[in-house]
Amino acid sequence: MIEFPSKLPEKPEDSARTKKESSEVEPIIIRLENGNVRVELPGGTRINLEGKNIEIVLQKILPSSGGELRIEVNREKVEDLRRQQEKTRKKMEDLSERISGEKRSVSVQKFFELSNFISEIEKLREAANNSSLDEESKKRINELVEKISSTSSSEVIQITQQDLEKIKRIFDILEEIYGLFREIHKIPRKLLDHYKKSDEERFFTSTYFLKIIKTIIEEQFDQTLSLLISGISNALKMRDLRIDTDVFSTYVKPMIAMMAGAMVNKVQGSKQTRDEIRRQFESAKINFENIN
Amino acid sequence: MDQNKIIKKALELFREGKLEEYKNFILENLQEFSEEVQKEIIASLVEAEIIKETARWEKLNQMLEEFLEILSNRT
Repeated sequence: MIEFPSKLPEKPEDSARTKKESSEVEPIIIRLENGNVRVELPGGTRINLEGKNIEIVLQKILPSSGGELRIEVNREKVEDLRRQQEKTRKKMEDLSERISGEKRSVSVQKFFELSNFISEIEKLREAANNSSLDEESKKRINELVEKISSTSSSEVIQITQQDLEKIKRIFDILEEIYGLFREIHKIPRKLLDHYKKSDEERFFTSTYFLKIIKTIIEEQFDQTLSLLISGISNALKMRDLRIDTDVFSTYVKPMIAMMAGAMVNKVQGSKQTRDEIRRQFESAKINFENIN
Repeated sequence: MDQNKIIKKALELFREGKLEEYKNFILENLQEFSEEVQKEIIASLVEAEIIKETARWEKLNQMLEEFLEILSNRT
């Protein structure tokens, strides 16, 4: 039997997105402009997906004539990016003031595009080279600007062997859950028997699964996904298997989304499956409607 | 390919350590899933890009700080 959280999470962790939690998410607009994918974050900030696989997929999915895709991501992550960019903008202003004696304001929207940022840095390098700085300082600045210019936006995610092992364990847990729910119409009797026992920990564990069953047969994809993510986050915490959020978002969340989608898809349009599940609940004397 | 086969194959690729293939395989088969699943996966990958982008700006800020320090030492 899968070991799972002894307590049901009050609210999903990480960046699980549900309709009820709209205040925690930031809407993002993705559109095609002359064949290029533009990802716009609130406040005019943009991220560059050029040359990445996701760009090719989006080029296929997005309608070519002015259509757009709206997605939601964790607000905190967007805020972190905005804060860093604002810091950069201030530092650039400081630098131009220190070099030329005047604070040059930079167009924020243009500035955050890499090419504009690099051209601003190049201007500062030129000004520094033409200033009365000593040769050693000029040399260091030139080296620094080279480093800044070569800081590519397509740096790959750092994934360690330890992360890999952790994700494999997460996938083992997920696969076990997925295997169980692939046969949702044959919910194992032992799960229902387990639920009826008075032991509190077992009760919560089984309740967690029963909640997932309920969201699946009610075709609530968002809720199923949210329950799976919060369950996995809790299971990771209990096993001290924390992994970085970028690694989680890149490798784990897509798998959870596919599984949640496949499970919901399994019952879609299948009245027979629904009726069978309800019958099983009734025979175990569990009021399905009251599971929440 | 049906959804179950896609999931199994993706898990297999990951377990073999073929991470790029794993990611590509999911993206190539995205359209086999419902629109809400597609949106979740895209949102998740975009979120990862935002996190990476944040780390990149953080690194740039450290370098700009160094730039400022060089100028400060002159005065």
